Amino acid sequence: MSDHDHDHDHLRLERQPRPRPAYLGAFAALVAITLLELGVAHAAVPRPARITALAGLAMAKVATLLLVFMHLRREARALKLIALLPLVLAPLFAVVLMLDTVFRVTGGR
Amino acid sequence: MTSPAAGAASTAAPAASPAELERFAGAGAGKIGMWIFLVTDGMGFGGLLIADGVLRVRAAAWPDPASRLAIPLAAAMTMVLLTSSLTVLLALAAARQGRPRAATGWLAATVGCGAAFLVAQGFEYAHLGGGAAALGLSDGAFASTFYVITGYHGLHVLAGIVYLGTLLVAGGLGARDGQPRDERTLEIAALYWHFVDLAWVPIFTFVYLLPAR
Repeated sequence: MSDHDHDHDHLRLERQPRPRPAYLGAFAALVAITLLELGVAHAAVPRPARITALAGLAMAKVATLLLVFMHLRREARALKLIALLPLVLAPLFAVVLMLDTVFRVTGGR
Repeated sequence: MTSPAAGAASTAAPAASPAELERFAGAGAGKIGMWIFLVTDGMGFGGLLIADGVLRVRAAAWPDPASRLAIPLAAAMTMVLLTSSLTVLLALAAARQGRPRAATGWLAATVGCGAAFLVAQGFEYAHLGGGAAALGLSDGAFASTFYVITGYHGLHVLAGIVYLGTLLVAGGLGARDGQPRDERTLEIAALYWHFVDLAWVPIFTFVYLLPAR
């Protein structure tokens, strides 16, 4: 390896941003959301509202993990599409399964 | 006149060079491969959670999770996994900055968190399986789905411990002579570990917290 390459790698190491504040902020948010989930689970609110709130909080945690911890926001569009495929397919399968369940219960009537 | 084999060879696309493979989607083959694996694995978890939902909706009665499961313990396990996601990120950051000792330390902390999670899960299973109101694997749809989903996730945690533990034991983290070394290997392993954490999020919500009908 030439001296030029060596210097370049040194520069690359020195230029690496210190990501701790962003990671620590995301970690604090994840902990806060988890505590909020526990509060919502025991809150005296109607069941549909609790389920909606819990599902929303879980989605917020998943988004934080994907975008910040797994760096998906910095990836190319093709990789984002690969990663987000299950988020589209899983609800589709759920709908198909629900229709199948309804069909079996009602006998197609 | 050229032979058919030679003609086929001349029309075949040239093999992609490592540099070309590296450029696809701005990531290397290993990283893309891991993402594709995680997508398929995520579908597996999705299938189990959908099955849980269908069984729950169709069941005549479904126990309130809070009355059968230890929610505070599950919350503590969640915190442990979240912490492990942070420590593996700090290991990766240290490796990129050429600090192998720090990277090794953070990676060891990650493996320790994973082991703590599995110990807590073992304690939870032992607690549920004992006593007068023991919850066995075949004690209804609630028990079956609970053990299958959490057990499937536990196996992923175990696989992650082996994966990261291998990196830890084999060494090769961080930098040598100022050069980043095996940073990509650690990045790919970190992706898997984050997925283990990510998969636990819907399990904690839908298995432990979602109220019964």
